[in-house]
Amino acid sequence: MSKERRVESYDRGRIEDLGRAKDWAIHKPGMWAFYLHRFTGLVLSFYLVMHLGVLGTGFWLGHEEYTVILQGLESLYIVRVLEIGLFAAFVFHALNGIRIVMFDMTVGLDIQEQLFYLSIALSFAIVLAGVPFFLL
Amino acid sequence: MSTKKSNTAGWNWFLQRATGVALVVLLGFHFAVEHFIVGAHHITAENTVERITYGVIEGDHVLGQISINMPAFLYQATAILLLAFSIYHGMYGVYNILMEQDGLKKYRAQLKYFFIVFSIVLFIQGILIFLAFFEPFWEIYDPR
Amino acid sequence: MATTQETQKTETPAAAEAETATLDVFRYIPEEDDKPHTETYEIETFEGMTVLDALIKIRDEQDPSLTVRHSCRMARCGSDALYINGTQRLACNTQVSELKQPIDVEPLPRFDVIRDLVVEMSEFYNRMESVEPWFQPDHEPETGDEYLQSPENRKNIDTVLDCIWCAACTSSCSPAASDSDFPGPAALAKAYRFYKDEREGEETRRRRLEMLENSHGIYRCHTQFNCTEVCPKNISPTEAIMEMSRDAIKEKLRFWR
Ligand code: FES
Repeated sequence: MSKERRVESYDRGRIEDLGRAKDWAIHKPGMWAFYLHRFTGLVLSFYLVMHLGVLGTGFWLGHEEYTVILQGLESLYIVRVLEIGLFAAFVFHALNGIRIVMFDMTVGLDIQEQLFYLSIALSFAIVLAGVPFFLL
Repeated sequence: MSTKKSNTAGWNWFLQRATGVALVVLLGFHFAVEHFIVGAHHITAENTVERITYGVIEGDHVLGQISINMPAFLYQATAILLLAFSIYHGMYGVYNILMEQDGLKKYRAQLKYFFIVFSIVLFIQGILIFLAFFEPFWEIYDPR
Repeated sequence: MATTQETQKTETPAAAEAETATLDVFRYIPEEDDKPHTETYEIETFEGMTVLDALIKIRDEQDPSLTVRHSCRMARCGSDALYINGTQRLACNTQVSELKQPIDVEPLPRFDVIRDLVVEMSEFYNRMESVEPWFQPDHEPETGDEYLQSPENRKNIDTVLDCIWCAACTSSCSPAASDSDFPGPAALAKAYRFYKDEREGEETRRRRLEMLENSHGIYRCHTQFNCTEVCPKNISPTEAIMEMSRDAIKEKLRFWR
């Protein structure tokens, strides 16, 4: 961690920074919110790039190929299940994002844990309601 | 910390929040249209053209037969804004995660340019997709 | 009936007094060890025993080589912040009886270890210094030689003033760990203490805000609330940081209008 050391010291390395397996169990809600927000954010960003890549076929190859590729992907069961995951990532990221914007306006800082649980509960409810739209 | 001014940090941060809030609505709308009304497996080039060129959202999915006639420019605006905001929000987010890592400190300048260029490429790709389903353009351009 | 219950009640702590506690202590002596290891100690506890008491007892009775930094033993000096059972706490402020056993005692995570439970703090002090934690008025005092602060203004900084520089919060903050340019929660709470001080004048306030607004400054806070959770003095650095970034943005929007 430190660059200029006054005395010899032992650097325990990155594992301390990322948290060890046994530390995960004791993470507080605020930390879980952070990890989930970051994870879902990365998932969504990755999907955005993939999404623009796949839809790009509509321009680069033409309309017929676009339809064939999209329908081909949608006929795979795994794609539909992953889409639920995507939807869940979006819903959580959006709800927790609202929570974060609230903090930025210094609203609700003292009920942050409850707000996190609320965003989790609402995410579950919304995603469950959305499942039939993806699987049917 | 250096006292060197970098006032863009505050603006970028603010834009990240502003686009985030806008995306809750825009992406929510996108999901509603593509997955809830139309249904992802019913998407074809034809009905995409209908939506993007004419703002006609038609679907027969779980909710039954639905047909919404939006002003074309409004639908187009949501599409373009969704594109721009999601690229900004997503790429600035990832860029920030990388900027926070001490291990990548020496590549900070390169990372910045990489993300700027990559975002522009993504945006152009998005605009091309938009144009592919925008009939007046496609009639002239269509490779076939 | 009532009397038997009472005697039972008084008996239970008496029985607990003779109880023992097991501590898994992180050990690293640079002259002897290549790598840190964990050593287990068993000690007899007494009522009101803190983790620091336990460590001192181990040092006195079992292993004189055990090194731990401490001074006031009453949560005032901030020298004995340790990682106890997976949380940053002051050893002198943590009761052994409240902890699950065996008690895991480690030096603060994300700091380099000098020996046993002692960590290298100079990096932390550099961070604290980076926010210029000293009084910088931009004018002469209005009355006499002293800068007088109004009680209302003083209320704003009541909690952040309690900071004892123990580094528990900075150790718990993952952005502070991965980005060495980020001052971290303790330094930003300290910055807040001066930011909120009216006596420094408007110009200094602006300058402080500009300095903190740097791309590795206040905007690196991801509201993990770890710092708020671990602070032994119940300071909420998260709240302080959020207030400063809100003010910074407000200022920008006002300028824009
Ligand atoms: S010994 Fe001073 S704070 Fe614990």
